[in-house]
Amino acid sequence: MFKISSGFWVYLLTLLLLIIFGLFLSFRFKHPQISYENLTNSISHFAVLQTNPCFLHIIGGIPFSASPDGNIQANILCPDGQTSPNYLKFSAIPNHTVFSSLKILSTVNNFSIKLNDQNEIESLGNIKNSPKQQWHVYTNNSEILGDLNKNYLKINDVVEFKYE
Amino acid sequence: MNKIFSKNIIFVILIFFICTLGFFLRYKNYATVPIPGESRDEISFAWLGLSLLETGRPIATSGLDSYSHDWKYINVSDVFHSFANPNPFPIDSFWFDHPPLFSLIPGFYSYTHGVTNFADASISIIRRPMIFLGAFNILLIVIFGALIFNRQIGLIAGLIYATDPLIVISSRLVQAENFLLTIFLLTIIFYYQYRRTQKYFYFWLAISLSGLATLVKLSGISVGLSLLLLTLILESKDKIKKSLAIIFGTGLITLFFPVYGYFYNWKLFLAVFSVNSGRYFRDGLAGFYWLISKTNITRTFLDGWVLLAWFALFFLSTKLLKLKKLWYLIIPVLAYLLVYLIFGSEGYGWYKFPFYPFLFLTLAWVINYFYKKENLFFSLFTLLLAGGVMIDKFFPPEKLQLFMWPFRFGCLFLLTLVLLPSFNLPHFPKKNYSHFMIWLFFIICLLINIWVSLQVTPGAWYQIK
Repeated sequence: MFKISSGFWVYLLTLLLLIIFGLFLSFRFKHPQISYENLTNSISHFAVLQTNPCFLHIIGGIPFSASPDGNIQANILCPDGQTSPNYLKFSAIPNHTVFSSLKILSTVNNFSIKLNDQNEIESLGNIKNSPKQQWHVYTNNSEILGDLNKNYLKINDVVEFKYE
Repeated sequence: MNKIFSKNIIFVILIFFICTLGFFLRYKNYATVPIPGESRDEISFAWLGLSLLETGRPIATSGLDSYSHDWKYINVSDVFHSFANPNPFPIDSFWFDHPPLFSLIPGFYSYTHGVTNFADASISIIRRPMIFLGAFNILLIVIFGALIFNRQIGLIAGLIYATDPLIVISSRLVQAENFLLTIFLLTIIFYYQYRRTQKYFYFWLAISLSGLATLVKLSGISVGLSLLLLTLILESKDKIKKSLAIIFGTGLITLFFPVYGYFYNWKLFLAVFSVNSGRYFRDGLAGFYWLISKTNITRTFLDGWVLLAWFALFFLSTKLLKLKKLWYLIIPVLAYLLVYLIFGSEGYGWYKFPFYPFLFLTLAWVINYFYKKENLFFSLFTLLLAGGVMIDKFFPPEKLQLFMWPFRFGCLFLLTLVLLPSFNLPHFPKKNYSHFMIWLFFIICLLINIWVSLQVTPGAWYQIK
């Protein structure tokens, strides 16, 4: 004869554990430990800052393409045999200035940008402007001479940062 | 008494050795192979667990259209640097792609190791509990084989599962199926214990686990289905009552998932469920062919052991009438196959993980069977299929070309070795010879497994198409 009650406590214990888990979720939902913004923050506390973008070369090389949110798709080009990069290129999507695009790119790739008072690039990664070579910004092969924060990008614009 | 004691000690030492070997193989390159970002599900599961523990909200990433995505560049494990998938993560809240139970493993592990936000949940952290789980699964397979059949079968299955490169790499992935197979094995072990001892404690434990399996992933319904089918086939008394207990017992625990969906956002839950249930059947009616002929993880990784194990299953099915214990292997495979064919829109590598423990136990049973029959033919197939396919990855045809004549003579020599017992030569030690050769072939295959597992570095993995 099948004794349904024998050993049934194991099953009840499982149900009890699930109820406790549900109550925990309910409690945590009302009293979260961290905000949504902090939880989904793109900066990792564990990330080792890489100042040399040459390490950031994406394996295989990715064709530029638009992403659904209108964010940039970045590819950092590092010429063969060169240990210190001096060339940065990405495609951009509307509603971002050159500056904001570069900010997103630097956040994603963990390299620093320094701008001077006129919002011109002073250094990218660990490569600073020098009397011989400076960073120049081009949009579709035309150099941007003014404030990077005032130049808005159109769909499929290609922005290049050249150290020359 | 002493003999039994020393046999037990040797058995325990062997289990420890197999689990340690499996752990070591899984640990080597665990954070780099497969390449972080190849399967974004891994990251998604960890994020789900982390968000549930920290905010009580299910937040993760999904590709389904039902959500209104919040696109974010969260460069976890440097995925945007190392792998050719530059798209930002669509962050979805509330996330209902899968039930939440499995996500608590990577989530809890990350949380207790100082991870506070999504960007911190790197692959090197979230895969660590999977390595321990992989070693535990090896232990369960040995226990399953030893308990239901005999120790030799348990050890053979454990050795294959511990060293097969396909399994070694698969075990590292943060995929729900890796935990589902743990629960699957435990459930069948407890059900067998119930049948053996007639203690209902084990019966209810098996039902509890079959319910929890559905909260790991919905394909976990195959665990409850296995219990139901085993009851209908093996039980002689109170079949219907026990079947109803399994159905309602499993169903009641499964209800946690819709209640969870109702609590957060019922409309979205239904929409996600509807999209998930209407997936396109890419493999179509050839699904079973692809299942047995193509082995993959995040990319195709050919493995002869799996095909050999399917052959073993076909052979095993011919012995079912004589040996009822074989149902404990056949039913889980059939139940999961049914769910795989019904749910499976396309053959992602991880969808196949729950087959492997039962397939390798089946293979171990067949190897043991041919060992007893002193038949070398199956060992020859093992060497050619399992060993050959595996070594081919790092010894391609162009290298073999340099050794063409030794290879040709080697094949002839191999065939002679296999046929030698059939020549009925006078005073030929047929039994000892056959046993020795079967072990030799098996050990060669295991050594190939270990060698290949160690060769799969990130660079080698990247070149696998």
